[in-house]
Amino acid sequence: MSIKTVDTAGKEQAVVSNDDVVLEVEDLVVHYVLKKSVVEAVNGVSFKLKKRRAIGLVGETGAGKTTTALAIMNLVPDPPGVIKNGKITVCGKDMLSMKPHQLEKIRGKDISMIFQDPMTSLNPVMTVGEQIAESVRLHEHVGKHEAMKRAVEMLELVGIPGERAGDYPHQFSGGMKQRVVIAVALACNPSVLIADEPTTALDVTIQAQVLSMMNDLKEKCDTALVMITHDLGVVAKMCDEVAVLYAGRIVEYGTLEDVFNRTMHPYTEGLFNSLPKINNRHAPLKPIPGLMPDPTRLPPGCAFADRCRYATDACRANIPELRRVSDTHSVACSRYEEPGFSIEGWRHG
Amino acid sequence: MKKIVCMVLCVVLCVGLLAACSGGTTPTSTPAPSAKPTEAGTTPAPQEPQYHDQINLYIADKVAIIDPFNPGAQSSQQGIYSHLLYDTLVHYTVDGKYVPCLATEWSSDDNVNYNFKLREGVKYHNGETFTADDVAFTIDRAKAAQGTSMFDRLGQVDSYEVVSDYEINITLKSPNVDFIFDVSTPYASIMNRDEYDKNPDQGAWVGTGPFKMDNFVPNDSITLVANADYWGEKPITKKFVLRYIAEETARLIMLENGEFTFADLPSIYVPQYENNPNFELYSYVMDNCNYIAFNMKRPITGDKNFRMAVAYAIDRQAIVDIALDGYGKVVDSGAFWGNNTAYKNRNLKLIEQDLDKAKEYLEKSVYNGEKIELVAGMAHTIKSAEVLMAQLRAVGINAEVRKVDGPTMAAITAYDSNDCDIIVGSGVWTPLGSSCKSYFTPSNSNKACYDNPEVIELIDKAAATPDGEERQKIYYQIQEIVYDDMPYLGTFHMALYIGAQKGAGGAVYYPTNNHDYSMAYWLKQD
Amino acid sequence: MLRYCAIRIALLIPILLCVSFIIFWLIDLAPGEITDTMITDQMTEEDIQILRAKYDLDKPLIVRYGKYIWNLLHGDLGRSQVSNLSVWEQYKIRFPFTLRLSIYSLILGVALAIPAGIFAAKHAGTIWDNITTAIAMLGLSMPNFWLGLMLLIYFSMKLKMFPAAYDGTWKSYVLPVVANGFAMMASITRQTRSSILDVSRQDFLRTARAKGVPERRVTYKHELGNAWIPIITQIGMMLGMTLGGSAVIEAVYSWPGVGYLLVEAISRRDTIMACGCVILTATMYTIILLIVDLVYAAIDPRIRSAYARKKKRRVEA
Repeated sequence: MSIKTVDTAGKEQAVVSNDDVVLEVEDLVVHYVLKKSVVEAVNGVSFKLKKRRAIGLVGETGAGKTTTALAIMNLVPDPPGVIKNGKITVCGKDMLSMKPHQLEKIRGKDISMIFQDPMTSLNPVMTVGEQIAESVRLHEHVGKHEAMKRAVEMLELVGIPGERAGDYPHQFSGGMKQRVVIAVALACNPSVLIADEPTTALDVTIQAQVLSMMNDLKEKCDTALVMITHDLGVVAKMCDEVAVLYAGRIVEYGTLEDVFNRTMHPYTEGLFNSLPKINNRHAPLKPIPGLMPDPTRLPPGCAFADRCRYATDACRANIPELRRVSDTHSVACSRYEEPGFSIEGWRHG
Repeated sequence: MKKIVCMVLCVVLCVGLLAACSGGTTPTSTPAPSAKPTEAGTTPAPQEPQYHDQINLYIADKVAIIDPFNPGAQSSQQGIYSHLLYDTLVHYTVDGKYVPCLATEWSSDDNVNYNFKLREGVKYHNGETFTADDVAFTIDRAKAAQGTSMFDRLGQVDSYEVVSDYEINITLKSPNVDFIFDVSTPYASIMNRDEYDKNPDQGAWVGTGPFKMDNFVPNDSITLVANADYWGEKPITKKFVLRYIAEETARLIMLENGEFTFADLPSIYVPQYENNPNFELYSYVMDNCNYIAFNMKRPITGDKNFRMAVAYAIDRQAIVDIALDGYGKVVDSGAFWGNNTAYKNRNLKLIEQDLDKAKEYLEKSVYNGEKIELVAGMAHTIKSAEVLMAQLRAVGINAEVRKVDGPTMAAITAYDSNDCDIIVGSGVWTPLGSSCKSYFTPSNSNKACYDNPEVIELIDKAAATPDGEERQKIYYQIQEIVYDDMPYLGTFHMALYIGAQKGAGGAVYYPTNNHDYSMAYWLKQD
Repeated sequence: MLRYCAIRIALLIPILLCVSFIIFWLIDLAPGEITDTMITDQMTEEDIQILRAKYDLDKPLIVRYGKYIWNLLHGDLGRSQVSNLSVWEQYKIRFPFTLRLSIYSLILGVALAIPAGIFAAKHAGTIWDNITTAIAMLGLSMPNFWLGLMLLIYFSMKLKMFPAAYDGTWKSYVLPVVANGFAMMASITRQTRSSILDVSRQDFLRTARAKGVPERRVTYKHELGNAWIPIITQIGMMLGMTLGGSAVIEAVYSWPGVGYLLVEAISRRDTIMACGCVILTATMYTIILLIVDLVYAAIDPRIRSAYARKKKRRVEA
């Protein structure tokens, strides 16, 4: 899916008000402590998400998107993962200070998550109906029969005939499995849904179907969505807000329009430049040179500096703070301290 | 040495005591429950003794099936349960006397034709009355049962004539003065024709003996209960369980815990029980003789000088000390003969160890450093062979032990095809001088392949000679010739030990291993 | 499915033919015949021939084997050459003892091994894992006759808690079941640990946790549910092995099972009995492996659908 222009006219531009906030992440730091080194996966991520809104977490592989998502669920594998710092609030409940049995009541009920690979996300020895019903039974304390009825309804909701509830995952195609995974996640009407690259493993035509279905369901179920993806097209289609992650930090954060149409961070610019242009298919792609730094040895300054064509010595010395440039838009780049600095790359037309 | 003297004394006392107790018309009349050899004659019968109802007896071999006519059913324990279940025509006491049992009288003028008058009013366990017909049946079946011990005893019968229900005449194929001994062994127990007809697989479960079959678990246990209608003296104990236990440790634990009333003790455990106030210890020396057999048909072992070299090379006490932990009796004569077997020639001098002489004879022999195999097949003969190997190597004989299992041993040492050099074995001897026949005439027990026409002739002559000086002369002569030829070297007689619970006794231990437990008891202790 | 079972059972026939011929041939090759220990000095050459003829030893091997197979085809396993008792009857009497010993040992082994294996896997790399693994290694490397003897000496002789030999009471089951079960426990523990570790990296466990499934249920339902296949294989093999009879344990505890029948039959050159035991044991083993396969299908729908053509299951909703 290629992007050239983004029409944000239809999107609601709501003012952030704390009353409706269903998910709040504050200064999250997650490290993986290995025997010989420490992987600094997430280094101070903060964002808020309100009811019915969708946020896209964008970045390359290894930027810390999935770790952020797991941290929100308090599912970071421990060991080796350690949540060093931060506060996560889901529907007013502090996820990080809760006991396991309290967490179990929130997961699947207030917040649920869809994982990247639908092929391996389902238990191969349980019927899909059972897997959906399991969630219902755990959270809503209904009987087996009742739960199964809900499971059938959920399957139909995601476009799978209800009579297939007795089938096993291996009897479904990839796209169907992802629908089942979505049905599992939505079975108890969660307030927040985290979708970790929900369409990456699917082929393109199926991707579109699944995405539009998710969009519908989000509306229907009043669910706030955290969409984790490296695909800007998906973000454009699904999200109201965007947070661009690089090396475990948010480098640019704003509404869809802020980030897409008023891009400020050189990395975001690089991401857009690396996409093919729809009106000039022959124009060469401009990938960002170099690789993301090794997360076990992050540089002292801006992690992107080595790949950044605007970088100065100052960039390499200090880690830039995320600073507000408008009510909704923030960017973490030291160069904006210089008056009149602007990036040149990505422009309309 | 002291130990052995003690032990022999015990056995002699034991035998003497039992001899004093038996006799009379009933073979199993052992009134005074006092059989512990060390206290022989000193313990009077307690006032109104209280006995345990059940005796559990360890048996040293599996019993797969109870049927004396089945060659596959041969178990070394057949003698023990036969004493309990059945009766024989004549009873042989441990001191060598023949007393009436199912036969009240017997006679023979020519040692070929025998007349037996049978006891009246004897009932089988199934209620049938014992008659001469049952004796006839037993003889018929035994004669067709090649490969059984029954056949060995009764196969020599040519014909019989049932004179009346209680009289039978038996004619042998050839004269045998020892026929009465043969019919006195438990391997000539009298079976019941009707039961065999009705129940071919379990015909042998019924006899006339002091105990009746209660339950039989093949290869595991035999449970017997007292026969209230027994014609002779009634048994003391009410129930007898004979049980085979494969694992030695388990057996000893069961004795220790009282689960066995009587159990064989491996010699290594004897010291532990010798002075234990909670247990009785019984022992006896077997007639069986352990031996070194030289294959006379092989060039090296066929050379007398080589055999003399071996004779001078061996130290028998060292073999006993290692193979039997010292609990055995070194042969007391140069003759190859059973320990207490009749007509033993004690004048033949035992060759004592003399390494110089051994080397001297070896020098003179045809031996030239070839490998000599010592074939052995049982735990204690293998140990003996190992000690022997060391002793032979010390004089320069390149000896090597070869361990084999039972059937292999039988196959490779068969008389016609014996291709072993030296066999280290254990030979069966009975109280009768005639048991030498197995070793000195062509047979599979003749591991030396010893074949001397003069000896064979003398053995035949002895078989037809009534007991007395004449017979002794013949047997002495046989032993002298064999001593000269030296196909065998006797090494030792095994001593066996039985541990029993305090207060248990009454068993009669035969040197042939066919123990009679019919009057065994177990006194309750206060 | 039925067809599959039928094929598996049919495959048993050539196996049994091979096995029985090998037994006949090997016993024939072994020095000594069943009659060798029966021949005594009182027997004439003629008597010996009569005796050998009773056991068909006057006929060539192939004739004896043919006769045996002919009888086998008529469902007759023959009679023991030693005791002249029906092989089937003897086996039938003793098999329940072996079966009970095996089943109880297996129950003990599985009941301890599954939690122990899970425990070790959940604490992989820690001291707890090392301790559990060390105990399992001990169980695998310790000869079971030795363990049997030690148990015997301690619990039977010193403490006098249990009888040293089978006496029909429940108490006499304890020591052999423990001795037999310990080795089973060891190998099943190891298998459980490694299966659980394999499964523990699977994504669907994260899915389950994300929907709020309690950790205990994640372990027993989702994790173990997927780890069963190799564990079941191990259990099946253990069961097959012990059902053939553990001659060692049977000897130590005087257990009237089938293991000793075969050992005894071979040492006595009782071809028919040995052959019968092997045939029955091989059949049993095949049936157990077949059951294991069916259990696979029962617990894993992917295997099930490989057997059965697409058969849609409707949910009663």
